Amino acid sequence: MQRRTLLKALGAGLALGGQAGRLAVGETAVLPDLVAVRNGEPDALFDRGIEALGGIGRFVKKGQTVVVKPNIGWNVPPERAANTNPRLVRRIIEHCLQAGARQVHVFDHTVDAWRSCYRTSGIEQAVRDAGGRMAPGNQERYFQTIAIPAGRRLRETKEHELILQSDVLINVPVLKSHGGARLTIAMKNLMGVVWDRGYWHLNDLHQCIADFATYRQPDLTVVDAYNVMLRHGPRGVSEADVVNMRAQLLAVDQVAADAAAARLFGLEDSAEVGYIGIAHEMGAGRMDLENLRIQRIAL
Amino acid sequence: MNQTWLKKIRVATALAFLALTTLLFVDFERLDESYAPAVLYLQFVPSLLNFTQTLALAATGFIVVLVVTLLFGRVYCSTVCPLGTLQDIVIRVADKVRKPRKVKFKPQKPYSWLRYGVLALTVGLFLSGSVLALSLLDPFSNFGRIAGDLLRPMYVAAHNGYGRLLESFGIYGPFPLHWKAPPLATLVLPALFLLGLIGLSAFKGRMFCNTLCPVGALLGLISRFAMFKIQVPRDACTICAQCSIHCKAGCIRLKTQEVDFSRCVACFNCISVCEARGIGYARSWRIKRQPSPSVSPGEQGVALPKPVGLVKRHPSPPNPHPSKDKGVSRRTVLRAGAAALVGLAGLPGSVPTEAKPSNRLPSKIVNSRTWPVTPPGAGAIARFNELCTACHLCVSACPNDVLQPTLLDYGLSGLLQPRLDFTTGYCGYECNRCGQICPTGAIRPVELAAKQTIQLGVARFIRENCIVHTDHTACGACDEYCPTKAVHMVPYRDGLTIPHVRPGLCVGCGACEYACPVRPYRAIVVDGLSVHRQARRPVAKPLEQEALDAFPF
Repeated sequence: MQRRTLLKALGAGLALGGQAGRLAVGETAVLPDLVAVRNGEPDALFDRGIEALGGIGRFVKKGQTVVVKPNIGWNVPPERAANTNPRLVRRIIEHCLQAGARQVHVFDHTVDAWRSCYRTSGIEQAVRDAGGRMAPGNQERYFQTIAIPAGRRLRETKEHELILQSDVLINVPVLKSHGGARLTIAMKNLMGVVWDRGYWHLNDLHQCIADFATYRQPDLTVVDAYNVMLRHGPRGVSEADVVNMRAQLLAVDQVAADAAAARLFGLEDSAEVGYIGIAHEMGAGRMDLENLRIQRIAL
Repeated sequence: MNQTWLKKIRVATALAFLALTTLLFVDFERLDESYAPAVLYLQFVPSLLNFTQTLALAATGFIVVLVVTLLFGRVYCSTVCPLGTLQDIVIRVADKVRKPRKVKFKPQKPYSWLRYGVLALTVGLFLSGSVLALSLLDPFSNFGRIAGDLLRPMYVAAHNGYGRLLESFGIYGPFPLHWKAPPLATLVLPALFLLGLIGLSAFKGRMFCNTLCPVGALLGLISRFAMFKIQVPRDACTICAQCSIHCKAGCIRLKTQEVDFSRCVACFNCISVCEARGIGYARSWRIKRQPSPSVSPGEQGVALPKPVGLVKRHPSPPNPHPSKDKGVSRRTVLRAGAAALVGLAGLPGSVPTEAKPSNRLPSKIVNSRTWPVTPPGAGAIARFNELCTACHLCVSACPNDVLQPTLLDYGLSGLLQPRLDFTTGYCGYECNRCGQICPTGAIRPVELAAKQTIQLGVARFIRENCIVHTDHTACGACDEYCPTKAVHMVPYRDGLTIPHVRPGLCVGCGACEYACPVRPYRAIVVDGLSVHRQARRPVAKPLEQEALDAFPF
């Protein structure tokens, strides 16, 4: 109850903030729903993309706490693209701190041994360099039970305390193939903020991913499609599984981000990924890209 | 002559070695991985074992120790050896705890039959292919087990408690450490050893070092020929007895004003308490009447001025107690020792047939294993068993918690040696740390690229246990974790896919077994290889890469 009130207040605050920002800068009144940027390095793509989406100030206010959630699931180096690109993570943190964020935390509930993942992925170093802080996510005591009122199969789960405590959540998935879920992008990346994901695997994975998407929309979703693992995901075998796509997607609606990313991956229909269709149908977000305002940018 | 500064340097050095060595065992990642070989360079037994394998410069620490011993006696025992310093700490604490007493230590018998018997037994067993005695008695390995197996869980608890305290103030402090409990039976021996050591050192000083420690015995033998020895100068000595009652090794006999330098652990207590400032190092080759055996004929001819405090007595002869009775009894015991040696040598050594399956479950489809899985770089079980002294540094250092001590999985000769335990973790594909830091070379250092094709074992899929088969539900956890796609999914029925193993690609890392959700018996298990093989490197056709000219939406 309290959280919902808080969230509502937060939402109102964000809306107001967005309004103020727009008025101050004097931009066009209508911001895009989705920004797609291509042909650049991860940091440059983000600089341009976030500008098009209204600037980081639209999402992060002075004195706020931010949690950035990349994919750090695997103990593999950055070029293997099993984890979010560390340069992107670094750039996002720098933007947040410039916008006056009080603290930026980064964590993942990793699959491989977490200290190794943090290190090998290059993200630990990137976070340190940017001035953020890595937080642990592989012990149950960091997770608290939450209810998912709109969930069908997933009615409650245990969520990392940083997601509950932080003012702003930025979801920074990497786009890649996934043996079990077809693709892993934004909604699937949030499996890394919960503790008991074994339950998801055993109780209709796609439905659970969509259920969790109804619980909370991250404030901002940035899909890393700089290097994209086209097969053998989620872990990948070698760099031969990766193409250098040099793209990035930014959106407030993570369902829209997932839908666009699925198309970018090469799927004809985003609904081929079960959870995208279900999330759209449940009202967690929109996959009907044709009805969304999309700004396409080439650097 | 004032040599009291020696003790200060000795204590500082000893504490530095103890702190760094302990840190490696309780919190390996606190130091950079590359420091480990430097910290452990001088550890005698690991260095010697490593040198027999590699003849590498990095494994020459034991030579340095031998040279230092030949110069100044068993300096090693009171500086480099962490078990020695641990005993010194026990001695100090015991002194604080109990009633003050004037006579801290009494002179001890040399027990030469015992220490040299132990040395002979250890060497003999090692040459016959068993490290059992070395594992049980090597001071470094014993210290490793005390620090790694017993102290580490407490350190982890304290460390994480501190972290939680910080978190209660909203700060994410140091990352929590993790410790996965090994089989509890493997903790019994280290615990018993520690208790015994505490008792022995609290009441008898450094008796372990002069009875059961094979390194102490060997260095003792060598220090008989040391160029500089701690000696009692007769003319300066007031027979105040301070040196003797402070001697942790009990090797100073006031009656004869002799120091049995073969038992002296070079703690320099005697030097710092001597009221006459008499006892201390003196050159041992100056003795005119009977030159020490290490003196070359040329040196004997050189006439040297007599320095003040010259030691007039000749150093203790090799046999300091030539009484007939003792000689007989020693001979008896030596004979007994020899018999024991022969008996122990007859023990089943490290023949692979000794290795037992490590997982037997009373079930229709058991997760049975022919061999335990040895770490990458071990090469073969037999080779590994002959070189590993079970110091458990690899267990402490393994970032994936997969290396765990065993009790008898390798047979008696491989007591406490580690194996890969896929219930606690799996071998990281991007990791080759254990080989880089193994002090004895039992796990050879292997380049990462080469390590990624070493086949430690092969995954075996048990279809009857798989939930795809039993429950008709999708899974694929093993496929998801497999780093080489040796495990991959193939069509089953009703649109489901089921795992399939391509053994040639399998490196035996155990990720599939770790990930398998089926209980109590898993549906995929890795069986170790007695001799490691070469896995195929996964190859894939390159993807057709087209530049992204426009967004497809």
